Amino acid sequence: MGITVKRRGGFGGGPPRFNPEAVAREIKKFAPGAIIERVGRGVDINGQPFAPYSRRYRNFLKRGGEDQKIDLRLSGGLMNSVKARDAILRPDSVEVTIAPDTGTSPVWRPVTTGSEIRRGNAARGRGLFGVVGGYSGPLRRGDEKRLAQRLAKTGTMQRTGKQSPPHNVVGYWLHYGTPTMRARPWMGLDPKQRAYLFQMIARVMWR
Amino acid sequence: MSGADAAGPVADSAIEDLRAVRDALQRDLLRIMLQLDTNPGEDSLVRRQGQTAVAVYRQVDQRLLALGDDVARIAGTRAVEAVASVLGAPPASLPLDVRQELDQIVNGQIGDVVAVFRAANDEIRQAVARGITTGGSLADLVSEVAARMDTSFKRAQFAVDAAVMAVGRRAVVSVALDAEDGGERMVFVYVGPRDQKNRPFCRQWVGKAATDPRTLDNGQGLPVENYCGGYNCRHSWAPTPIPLAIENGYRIFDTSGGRDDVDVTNSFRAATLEAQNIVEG
Repeated sequence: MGITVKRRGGFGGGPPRFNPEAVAREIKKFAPGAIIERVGRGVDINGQPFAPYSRRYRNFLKRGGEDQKIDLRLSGGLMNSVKARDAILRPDSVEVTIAPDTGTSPVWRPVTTGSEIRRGNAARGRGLFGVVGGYSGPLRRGDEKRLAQRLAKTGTMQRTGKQSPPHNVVGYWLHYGTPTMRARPWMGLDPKQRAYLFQMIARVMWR
Repeated sequence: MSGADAAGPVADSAIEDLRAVRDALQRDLLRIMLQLDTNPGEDSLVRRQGQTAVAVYRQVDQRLLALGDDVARIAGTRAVEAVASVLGAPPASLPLDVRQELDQIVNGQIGDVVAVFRAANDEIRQAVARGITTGGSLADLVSEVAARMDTSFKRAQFAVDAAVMAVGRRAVVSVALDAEDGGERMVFVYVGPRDQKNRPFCRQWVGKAATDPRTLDNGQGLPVENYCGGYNCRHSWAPTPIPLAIENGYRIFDTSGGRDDVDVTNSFRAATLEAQNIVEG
């Protein structure tokens, strides 16, 4: 493909002008989406794939009918809370805070066949349909319908009624890891994204 | 605490307030109904039916109406705080039209919550009617009402959660949609899980990018840029520069005309290549 050489007022067209507002705007426009998009691809801030989920958590997701992709997302509350939260503009520098908020998300649990049979009361002391569970007896009125209703929910997630720790705390745990959870550094830009952001900033400085 | 940090606690606090109002109502209803159950000389539910049905209806309705006002008042106060906290400092961090849109979203939250309690009103009225016409005991009726209110409260919590997430999405999307700044043009990648629970809209869009999500229709009557596929949607819009979106393999669709099937990836790719081959002289 041929290369066109043009002279225009872009890079090299004159001395750069630092416009704090324009630079902050470019950062706010780029960084939150870049983080959300990269985490959605399962890539950390070093450009490497995230550490795999534990077998226990994979089973948890599977039982709840969830995608097992490593995207640090269950309800989406954490990722949807990531945004530009603050900006400090100085004549010669800009500081933009991109972070999750301090809100919380509901805690979910998978609905499983076993738990639903128990909750459906079919197995309590009488066994499932009178034959399973070591007891025998007739199916009581309404059991069949109740059991069918409960089983229909199997493979989904339901709220436990509890709330998660604040999003910024969960984000910190995910980023740095805990004694029982591997670190998955996600808050920040990977080298390619950082380079692209510098280009964006350079464009507004030379505009 | 800076205003920016307060969005979460504000939402949590609103939920706590809703819970307190719900509990107060539940206690009142229990008191009213148990009183009816134990009034001397009224040992027959059948006998009581005619005398108390109207009173029960009226009291339940009055309490629910009052509750609806309380919810609207609480959510209204919280809405103002939530908007202030989302906008944070400095005040110029978001343009005026974005603030107005955030206002609308949070005001929509009030509508959601009030609608939920309006639904609860109907459910409780039905429960009372059913209890009276079938001649069941008032204790059963109370437990059914309590169960129904709990369900409705959860729905209120869903509405609040969804509205808070919508504010977050909108804050990100609005800044990127600001076309007048003359900066980088962005497309919006639809990010999130791909599984059997996806709504049709999410199944269609996950892993793709749209030029303007505002023109899309999720079939739920909710703004796509705020709610994605609907209430409690697990997905997000990620504003991404066109070259990066192409490099990461997303198909880009021009949705500016209200259509969702115009694939412009190749034309964007050609334009990107051309721009990369212009050497500034």
